[in-house]
Amino acid sequence: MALQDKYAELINAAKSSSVSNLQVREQNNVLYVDGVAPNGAAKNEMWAIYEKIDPDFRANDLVMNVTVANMQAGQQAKVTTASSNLNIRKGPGTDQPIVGKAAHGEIVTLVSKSDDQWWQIKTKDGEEGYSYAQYLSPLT
Amino acid sequence: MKNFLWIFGTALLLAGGYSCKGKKDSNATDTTTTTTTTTAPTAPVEISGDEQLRKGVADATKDYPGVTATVNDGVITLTGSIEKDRYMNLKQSLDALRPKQVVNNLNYK
Repeated sequence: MALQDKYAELINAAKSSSVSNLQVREQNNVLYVDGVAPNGAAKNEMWAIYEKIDPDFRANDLVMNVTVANMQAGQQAKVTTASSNLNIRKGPGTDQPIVGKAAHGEIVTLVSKSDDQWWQIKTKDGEEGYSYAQYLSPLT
Repeated sequence: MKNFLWIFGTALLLAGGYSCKGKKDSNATDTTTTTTTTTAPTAPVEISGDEQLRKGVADATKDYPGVTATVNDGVITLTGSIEKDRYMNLKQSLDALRPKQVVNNLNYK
């Protein structure tokens, strides 16, 4: 229970921003927080609170897997790489050949979200393939 | 011949099963009531296998050349260095892989 107290602010924020399927479980001194956030802002808020509680991310006692709900086929997403282009690959995995690139800040369309880590996208130039979901932020 | 033996064997097994059931029947009145299952309020945390984690970790760390990650028994251990403001993004990718734990031994640049 100690970890749930430590991260109480985070758990409360998840509840108040209506994170669905919220699961908070403590196991072997690690707290696991899973859920589906209603939008990107709610997810970002949870991560901001995590950083506030553990500023250097050195406690190694939280695994937070919060996905964003409203990312559906046909919706647009922005490429949020650090600065470089985002690779578009033939299949889901870095071992797959690169079939195109999306520029930093470019808006792309989601085709399918069959894989959590790799989303199938399409650029405005018609390039289609799989990109790493971490670098795609849904536009709400 | 083989078939016959097999059928004979199954028949024996069935007979055995029935006889067991028959024995149980004598005190079956209370056994039926105890079968009601209690649904667990929280399922145990799902942890991905090491093989799956290694593949996911390779994808997640590809854009962080200074970072070395090892996977052992569900635990992802990070060594090397990274810009502090990029760590949260990396941690988000790693947490999404369902590890048991992420151990951050990185130096911040």
